[in-house]
Amino acid sequence: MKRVAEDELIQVRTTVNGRSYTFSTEARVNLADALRYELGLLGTKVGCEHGVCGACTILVDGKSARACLMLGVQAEGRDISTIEGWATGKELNPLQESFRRHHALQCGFCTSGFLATATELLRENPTPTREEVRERISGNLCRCTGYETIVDAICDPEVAAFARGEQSA
Amino acid sequence: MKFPAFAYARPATVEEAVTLLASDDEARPLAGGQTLLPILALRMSMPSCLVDLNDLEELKSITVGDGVVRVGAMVTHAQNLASAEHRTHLPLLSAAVRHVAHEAIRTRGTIGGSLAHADAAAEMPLVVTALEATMVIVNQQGERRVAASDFFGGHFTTAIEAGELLTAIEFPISDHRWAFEEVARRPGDFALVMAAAGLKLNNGACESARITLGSVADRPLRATEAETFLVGKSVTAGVAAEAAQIATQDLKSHGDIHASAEYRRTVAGTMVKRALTRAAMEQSA
Ligand SMILES: Cc1cc2nc3c(=O)[nH]c(=O)nc-3n(C[C@H](O)[C@H](O)[C@H](O)COP(=O)(O)OP(=O)(O)OC[C@H]3O[C@@H](n4cnc5c(N)ncnc54)[C@H](O)[C@@H]3O)c2cc1C
Ligand code: FES
Ligand code: FES
Repeated sequence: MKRVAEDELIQVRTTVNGRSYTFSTEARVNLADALRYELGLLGTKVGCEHGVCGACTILVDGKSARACLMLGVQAEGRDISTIEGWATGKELNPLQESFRRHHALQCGFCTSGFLATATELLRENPTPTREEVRERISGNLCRCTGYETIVDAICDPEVAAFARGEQSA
Repeated sequence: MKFPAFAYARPATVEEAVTLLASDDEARPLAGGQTLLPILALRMSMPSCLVDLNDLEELKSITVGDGVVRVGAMVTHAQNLASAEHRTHLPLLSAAVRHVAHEAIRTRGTIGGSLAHADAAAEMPLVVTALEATMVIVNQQGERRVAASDFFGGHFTTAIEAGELLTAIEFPISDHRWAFEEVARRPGDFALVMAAAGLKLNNGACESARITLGSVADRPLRATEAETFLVGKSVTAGVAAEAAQIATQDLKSHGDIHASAEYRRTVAGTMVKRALTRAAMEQSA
């Protein structure tokens, strides 16, 4: 791509939660804001806007990434997965359901980021130890729960069964 | 904050990227963006144009040959962490990259970006210094190579000039056994103090030692006096402690909100002692 001036719009084609989207944006707009304001997907939250809090964490080509530290234009050709794609209608997936059961959220601002981080971990290892979970979620901040219930939710046996199923699928 | 406005280009070749950079002094390369984008969000810098390196496939591979592991500048921390080649040939890199940030940052952050940024508390500058790697830098005139020992010029300062790109890092495969130690406040935080030790033993006696300290000065430091002290000795716990003492006695570290200078110097000694002891055990294993 040739140099595009700062006030020029760039057309982006991307896939989010299995659906194709085309939108136009300035280069300066980060991916979290592009998802929220160009595509109307408000489940991805923006906290610190500089990579530290983890609230904006999403999956890009199956790997966790900070949506605030990618440009919207870098979504071109990518396969993005956000919290809007994880429940089936009103039915939460087993990880989300486990968060609810274990009271792993209060205000919920951090939750979509934690779910993205945990989803990636569980795909690699359906039965992580508490220590492994604590290390993996160290990049996500939660001001409400004190983390223990989040670790409980991720280590729940029903979540492990779901994650094993996903792995073999 | 939102990023300030900038022009944007996504070149398809290194040549194109270098041309774009040379045509505008205020343009900056964008690698993983895991440092540059926070800097923009904090408005600490306002480049005129970001030259996005993410389409440069030629900078994304790890190759092994002729006693050298060549790592492209756009190889991500996640790729380095997963690399079986590194576990065999560059175990120090494998051990240290685990400490770089969090998974979501490692997905995009690159070794080239980390070295070009040259944060004194970052792990990759320590690794290239310890392993005596060579940086391959490209400009419009061609290619030049810079030894790790000449690459870092202090805080956030390297030998890369305006209009230049770091394209690869060449690591000579070392016959030392390596160990890495770090203290940080949480997993994934920048190091408060870190150390790497490499030992080559012959019948239990040290033939060659390499000790490198990080996050205690404006760039990674080799403890050459301690390295010389170890030669010919058997690396017992007592000898490791003595070497650690020599490595840190003249250290003039810095204090900041995270740790005082005295804390850093004391912990640096402990890191060196542990790393040496572990490297010695690796050898006999
Ligand atoms: C929350 C958080 C925690 C972190 N923790 C750690 C940590 O514990 N340890 C650690 O080491 N790092 C840490 N980082 C930084 C991370 O490792 C970055 O990925 C890395 O420092 C920069 O790499 P990048 O590819 O993202 O570079 P970018 O941010 O894209 O670029 C960084 C700088 O290098 C220049 N540059 C990039 N590539 C090149 C090139 N090929 N040639 C010339 N110039 C180039 C850019 O212009 C820019 O000035 C952390 C980051 C965050 C957000
Ligand atoms: S908003 Fe992206 S990490 Fe905080
Ligand atoms: S539930 Fe409120 S920040 Fe985590």
